[in-house]
Amino acid sequence: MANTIHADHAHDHDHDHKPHGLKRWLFATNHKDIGTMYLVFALVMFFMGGAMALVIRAELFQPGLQFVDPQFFNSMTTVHALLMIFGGVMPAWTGLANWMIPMQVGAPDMALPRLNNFSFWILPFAFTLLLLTFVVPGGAPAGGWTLYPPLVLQMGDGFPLMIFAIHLMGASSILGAINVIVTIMNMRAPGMGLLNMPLFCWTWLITAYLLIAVMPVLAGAVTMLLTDHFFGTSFFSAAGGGDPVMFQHIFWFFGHPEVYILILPAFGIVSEIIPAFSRKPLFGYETMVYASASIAFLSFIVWAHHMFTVGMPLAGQLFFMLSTMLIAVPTGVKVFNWCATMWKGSITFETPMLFAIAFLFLFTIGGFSGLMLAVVPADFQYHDTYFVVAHFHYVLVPGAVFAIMAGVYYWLPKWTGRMYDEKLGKAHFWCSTIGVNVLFFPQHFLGLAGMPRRIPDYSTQFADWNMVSSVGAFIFGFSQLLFVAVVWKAARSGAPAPQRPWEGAHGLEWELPTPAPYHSWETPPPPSVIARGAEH
Amino acid sequence: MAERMGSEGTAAGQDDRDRARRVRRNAIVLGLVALAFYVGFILMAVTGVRG
Repeated sequence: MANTIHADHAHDHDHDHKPHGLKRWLFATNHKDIGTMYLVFALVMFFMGGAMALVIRAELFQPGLQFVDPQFFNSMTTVHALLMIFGGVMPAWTGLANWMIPMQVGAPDMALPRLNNFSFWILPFAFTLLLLTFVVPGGAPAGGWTLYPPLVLQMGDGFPLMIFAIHLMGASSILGAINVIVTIMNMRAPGMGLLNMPLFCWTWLITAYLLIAVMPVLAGAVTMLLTDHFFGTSFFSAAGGGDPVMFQHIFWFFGHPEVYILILPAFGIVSEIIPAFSRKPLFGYETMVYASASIAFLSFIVWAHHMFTVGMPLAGQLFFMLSTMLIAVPTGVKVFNWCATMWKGSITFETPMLFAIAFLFLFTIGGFSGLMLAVVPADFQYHDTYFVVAHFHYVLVPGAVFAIMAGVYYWLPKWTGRMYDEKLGKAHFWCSTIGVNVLFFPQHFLGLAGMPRRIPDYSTQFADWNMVSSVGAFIFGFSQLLFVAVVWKAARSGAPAPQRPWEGAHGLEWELPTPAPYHSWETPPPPSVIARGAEH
Repeated sequence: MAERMGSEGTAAGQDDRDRARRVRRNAIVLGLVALAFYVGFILMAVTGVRG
């Protein structure tokens, strides 16, 4: 059968009409090219956002003001968050979706290839606008990524640049999400039912619906900020009859589902990697799908847990506390299923599996601290402290970012046709895992001791753990250079990869030759291939 | 034989056209949903809807 597939795709190689030079990338409509551009863009943003994080940690290495003035420090925290969320994690997921979804559902490309090109090319302009704020009078945004009025309205000339940048990022995400939904709903190979799809496609489908529901809400909120600033409206100005707390409600109606936009695709990737390296089918495939959908639904009714301290009726506090705790149920189902998949499996610990297991442990720590924050009276103590910073960084770094790395290591042989250096990959894993824990775990202690977030200076009682945290930041940050080296080395001179480099891996992407041809699945895969690929 | 191939080709062409129509319709509907959320939340703030 493998021979048949090879023969089918020999045809693809013959007609591998790749455009060359700059035009290939500028006018790209090929899902693999666009996926690569998204991933490279995300990597650049990760390094820029990471450099800002290192400025923050260098300043916080010891008490007192050392390197930057407080206004610039606040810009660092704000722009670091915007770059990492909208420029790093989200484009990385879109890059992986572009590469993998058509290959996994047996489609030749995304359903709307030109829209795909447009979605990508919006991004460099959006982030150029955002970064331009550093050189205009008044400087870059410094009021936190949550853009709360009235503070954000005090920003200088960079304000409209920032608002327009956020609009563009939102538009890019919405167009990307439309493309994913339309591709999955219309381009699946005949015979591939929704419940035959790999979990990465499922979690991305759910993520795409979340994006369409909430990115316009963010766009609406920032448009109202814009009109409050320039056109005399008073949406969020108490003096004019508006309500600044209304902004918080609208922002977090976007903001909480956004958290799941960042993490759901990670669940999908981990659900592919753990079975592959445990050499067992995924335990409870359907419950994984329903758990993902439940998490997505619940994400719409928990937003006010981010703002307990603004004051709200007891009924509101109880509702948002309990609905938040309810998320632990489908999340627990997932963690249980991943553990059950590994149970009595024939496990090997290649780099993708190491990152997936680290995800499992460390994301769960982030989940537990989230549960602590959901408890209203406790949240009154933890709110706006480093405990919150520790919580969401555990969710986003060893959660989302580790899953992205796991995905890259897992699929790199299929993309490039070459294996990465396993020793270097493992070195990258251990440096990252040790670094990330030294960086973020002490922040729990700092938060519990009362250190507020978003401050450039602090009381001497917090000095020791801040020093440890900063050392961890530099270990973690510089370890990522190793990641670039591993990918570069693999792409340039790695050993040739077989068609299915991981013996336990299932899915249509592994039925394609390695490296995946420029145009894959020009004719839909036959039912026997779909059946073999769908062995979850 | 040629006739059968021709009719298969036509059927395949029809399938492709149907799929292209479905793709376009889905994309437009999703775009409208996004627009409705955008306008809806602004209207909600304008009219002062409170919990």
